[in-house]
Amino acid sequence: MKDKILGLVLLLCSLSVLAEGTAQSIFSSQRSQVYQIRVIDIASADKFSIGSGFLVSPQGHIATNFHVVSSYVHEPDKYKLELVNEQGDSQPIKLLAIDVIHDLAITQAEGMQGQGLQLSPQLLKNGDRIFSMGNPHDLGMTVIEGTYNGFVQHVRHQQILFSGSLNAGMSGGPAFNAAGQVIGVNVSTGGEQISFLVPVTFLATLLQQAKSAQLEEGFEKVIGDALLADQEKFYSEMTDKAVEREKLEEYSVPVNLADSLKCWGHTEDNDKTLYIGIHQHCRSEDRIFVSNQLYAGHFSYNYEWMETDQLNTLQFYNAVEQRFNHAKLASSYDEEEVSNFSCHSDRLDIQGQHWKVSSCLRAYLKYPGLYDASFVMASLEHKDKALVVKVGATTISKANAAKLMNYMMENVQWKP
Amino acid sequence: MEALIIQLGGKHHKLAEVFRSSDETIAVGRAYNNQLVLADPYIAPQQAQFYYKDSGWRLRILDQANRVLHNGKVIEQEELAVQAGDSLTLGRTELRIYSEDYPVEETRQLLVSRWLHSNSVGFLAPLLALVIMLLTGMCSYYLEDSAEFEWKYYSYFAMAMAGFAMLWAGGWALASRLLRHQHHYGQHLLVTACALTISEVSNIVPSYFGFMFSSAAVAYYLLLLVSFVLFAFMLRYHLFFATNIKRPLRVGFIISGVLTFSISGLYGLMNEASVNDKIYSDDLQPGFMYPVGSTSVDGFMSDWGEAMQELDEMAGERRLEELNENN
Repeated sequence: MKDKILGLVLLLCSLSVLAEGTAQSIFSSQRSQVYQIRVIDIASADKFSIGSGFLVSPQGHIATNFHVVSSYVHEPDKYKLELVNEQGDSQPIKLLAIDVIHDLAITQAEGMQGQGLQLSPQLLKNGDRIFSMGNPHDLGMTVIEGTYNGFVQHVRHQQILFSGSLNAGMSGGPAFNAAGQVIGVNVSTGGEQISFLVPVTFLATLLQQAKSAQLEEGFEKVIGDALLADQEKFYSEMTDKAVEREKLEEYSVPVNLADSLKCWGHTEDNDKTLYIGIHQHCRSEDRIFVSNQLYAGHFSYNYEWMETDQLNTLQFYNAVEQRFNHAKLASSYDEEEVSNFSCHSDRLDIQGQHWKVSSCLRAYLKYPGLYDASFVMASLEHKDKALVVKVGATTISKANAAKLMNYMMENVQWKP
Repeated sequence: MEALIIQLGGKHHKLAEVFRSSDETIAVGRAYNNQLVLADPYIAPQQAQFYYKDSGWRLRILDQANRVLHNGKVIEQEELAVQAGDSLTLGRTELRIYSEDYPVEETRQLLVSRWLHSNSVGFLAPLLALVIMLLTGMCSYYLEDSAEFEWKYYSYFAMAMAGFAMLWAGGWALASRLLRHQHHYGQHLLVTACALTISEVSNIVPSYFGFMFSSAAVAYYLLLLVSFVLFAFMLRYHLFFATNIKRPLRVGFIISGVLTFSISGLYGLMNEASVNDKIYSDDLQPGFMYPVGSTSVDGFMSDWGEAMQELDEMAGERRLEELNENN
């Protein structure tokens, strides 16, 4: 028995020594190819924001996050990009390619030493140790150890769930497997010990693109095109797939519009409000960083069933009127980015039932073809019960906004 | 000889001082040896003289220190003929010349209901109107807004409304006291309470029309129109009691128009500043309250397409503007 305990203790000690050794060895072997990326404000010649990056090719290609270099992308006259190497020397870098959807960017520096870190698209097993490097809060290059926990569920864009603590400034740094190969890029955090990595496959694609093609048009066009393509994929998948319906009291409503949505429900049934309200909300919780003023790719829908046996018709419709408003869009509030909302409302006859429908759109000025759309419809058919449907989508094309409206008007049906 | 009548101060709502000639001459000036003494420091002690000659009255200017005006024009010659209806300005004093047979304007009609115009309508009628106003407000609140029972807040609101009505009427009573020497508080309160009662009832109309036309703009402009007319009529009665203005309804419409226009203009400017406001029709009524058929889905989509086409044009213009600015 004693031997067994001793054996176990020894095993644990050796494991921890091994683990420490791995973090240490990864740090010492890869440190020279991991850098701090700085966005320099040209007027003050001082750093405006910081992040991390790493060498991915012998030609001096350096990977980082799009959000690290986004200030430069949007205002290239105001900022410039620099890297700071292990010795503390800084040198200018040039931005070659961006992937705004997955938050990646490839830059290039001249005269870089090193072969570049090896990228490994091989999948890990949940619970595998992984190591992430970066320069948090400009404190110095750091390695942190955590656990690989597979891909994040219910998101529009694949990310690795990393149980470890990333901090501001580590964005764009590499995450390694135990063999010291890059499996992902640090990107964001979602709370204590919850961090997210961009899978390295997206980086490999972007690197190929950066190596093969010269960017002909401005980055603005690249961002606009990427957002257009991304929304096209998301909404055509949604409207093309077979409609799943569920009963919400006396209506049948489409549900599970996309796997990437998170859904919640609640019921309002207190003495103060004299009606019952049953709510179902679904929304996409990941968002695409475009700039500090603009997060793209939000989508939400919301069903609300209202019923009363205590209010008269006028009172009830007044209560419905209070609920008949447009969904809040998690989007830009910067007047420079968007036009004013333009709305159209009418009373409709949909499948023999009276509805009130209102739909608003506003255009993105920098990204032609992209809009924020908001849609709300309420049934006017019954004296004491009503259904209110709300849909909100940011950075969507006009055609898809129309498609989405048609989809809702077709698929919300009265089935008592 | 026809008597000359000189009226000091031309406004019909003030008690005018009237001087009637008893002789063939009337000396006018600041000195006390004149027949008509005018205590105006801009008038000379011996300023002018009216005299009767060849069956007409004439005016002779005796002092040219300050020019005398005849019907608003400077008198260049030393003397001139005057007739009934003329006005003369001496110093800063205005005189009007009349004869005995000068026609006076028609007698104006009092309000239809005499009791409204009597000096005091008493205590009961305004109080009753105030109570009716609060009850009407309460009824419309109950019918329309009571998805949640918050009578406590409504009673606070009602008290504030009553307080406001009483203060508003008080302001007008003060004006009446100053301008017509009678406060007419009861009448002012009655008018205020009636106007507020009608507004409680009539405010439902715009939102119903907003629903019928599915347009926030229709509801908004109709509400403006209703408020404009109601306020004009309220002002008409306030002005009637407080002043002797000849056409109180016209003045009421002008004031109400200016106020409605400027307030809605300010509101519009404030709205313009916020791009996140979605301006859409949020009036809902049960379907059976709409007399005409509804739009089809295809019809809605094509209207929507047209509306959004305009949005694209606006966005395009803004893009061009920004492009030009950057260049």
